[in-house]
Amino acid sequence: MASIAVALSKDLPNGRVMRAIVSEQDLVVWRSKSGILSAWENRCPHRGMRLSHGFVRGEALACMYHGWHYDKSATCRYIPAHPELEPPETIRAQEFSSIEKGGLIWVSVDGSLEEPLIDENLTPLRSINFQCASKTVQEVITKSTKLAGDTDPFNFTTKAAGYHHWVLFSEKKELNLHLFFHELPNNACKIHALIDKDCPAQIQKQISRMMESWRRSAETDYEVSAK
Amino acid sequence: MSFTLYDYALSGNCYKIRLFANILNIDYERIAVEFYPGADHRSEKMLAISPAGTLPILTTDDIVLSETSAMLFWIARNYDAPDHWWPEQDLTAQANILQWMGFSSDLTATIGQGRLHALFQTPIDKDKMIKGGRAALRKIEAHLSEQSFDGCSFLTGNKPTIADIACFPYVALSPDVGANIGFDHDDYPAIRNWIYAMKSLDGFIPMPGIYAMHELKDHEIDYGSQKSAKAGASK
Ligand SMILES: N[C@@H](CCC(=O)N[C@@H](CS)C(=O)NCC(=O)O)C(=O)O
Ligand code: FES
Repeated sequence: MASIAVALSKDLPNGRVMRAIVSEQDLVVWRSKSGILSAWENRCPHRGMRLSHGFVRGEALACMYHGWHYDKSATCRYIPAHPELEPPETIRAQEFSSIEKGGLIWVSVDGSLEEPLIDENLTPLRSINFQCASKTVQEVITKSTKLAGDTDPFNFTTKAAGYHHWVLFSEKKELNLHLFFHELPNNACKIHALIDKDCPAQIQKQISRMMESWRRSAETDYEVSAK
Repeated sequence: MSFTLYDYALSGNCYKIRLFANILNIDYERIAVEFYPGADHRSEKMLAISPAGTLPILTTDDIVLSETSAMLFWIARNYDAPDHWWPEQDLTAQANILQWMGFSSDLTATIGQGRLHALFQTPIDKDKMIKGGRAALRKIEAHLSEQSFDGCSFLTGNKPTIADIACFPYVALSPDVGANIGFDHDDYPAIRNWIYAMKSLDGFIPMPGIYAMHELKDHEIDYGSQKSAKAGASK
């Protein structure tokens, strides 16, 4: 199932940590102070705390609970309660492959990280969450592009519709909008959206609001469901 | 002239005032009031000071305030805070600030109530709270995304204002309300970036549930910082 885009690169600056989920696999994705990207199982080998609650300490990720430090190879290197101890090499978090390309962070959880084919000159827009399956969102997009007439500021047409990657094209604005679908558990998904050239902030806002309008249509059954 | 703050450590609303006063390096008198379980904020003694029956309360010889928005404004003006906190000459900025100060009370009414329920089992309409809280988080996420298109990191521009202080606590505290109700920050990258910017301010202080980034003793070992590594999206 190859590589899945989990975030826009700009939303994970150096020294920051985030959580991501790919095919039910809970992940911590983090970037060291010098910029090295890692994606691991979101579970501290010590007591199982979510590592996504942790802090970046230079080139290491420190667990929030007891502060164990893991280096870029996911190996535990420092245990604050035993500062003199050199931790055994066997204490490691489970690593997954990750790569950065075209302004996106890609993760593979099945060991098959392929170089994603993507234009390197895209401008990141935003990641937006939907409480419905990506199929539902795709149906809404198809319908709304069909309905959009000449008065629509973009009048997008669907140029490519792969499983995870859609490209909408606006002839009016000569603009490609790239949508990367990221399926989540419990009937939810995200879109990581990018545009293919520097476009004015005003247009970015319009597209951002258009995505919210898709969401309002797609989530008609987003009822309160505190499980 | 200094002021007195009637304060409760676990209150996000009280934290707004402690945070802003600390950022501006202001000395003030703090009187702790037992909100729970004593409900001392509704004692006759406290109601005599402020009939609103809520915390925080800010008092001086001349003034008694029970709305945090009014307190933040009063502190900014009275202590001559750097202009970006309340841009004196900029009507548009002021109007935008008031807009988000108004929004901050939606946060108290939804996420704030949800948190009181999580902490003290205060009765609430849970469905209404969850729907309202999600809507509020999505609204601020969308706005902060739009701000980022303009290259701005804060609610009304590229410097923080009292609107950021007013909205920050309950947005930052939302994950404490509960899991799987859409209040986690995982789905809100723009909110995460903004929280990071707020925590990076000089004079930032934590409260229970809002930790400082460098709270843990800084322990940095150079495990090989691969200078050749892509610089990534460093700011
Ligand atoms: N309007 C006030 C509201 C403050 C508020 O709601 N405070 C809570 C504590 S965080 C409170 O005192 N609630 C009264 C109660 O629950 O008895 C403000 O913006 O400061
Ligand atoms: S659970 Fe991570 S250090 Fe203990």
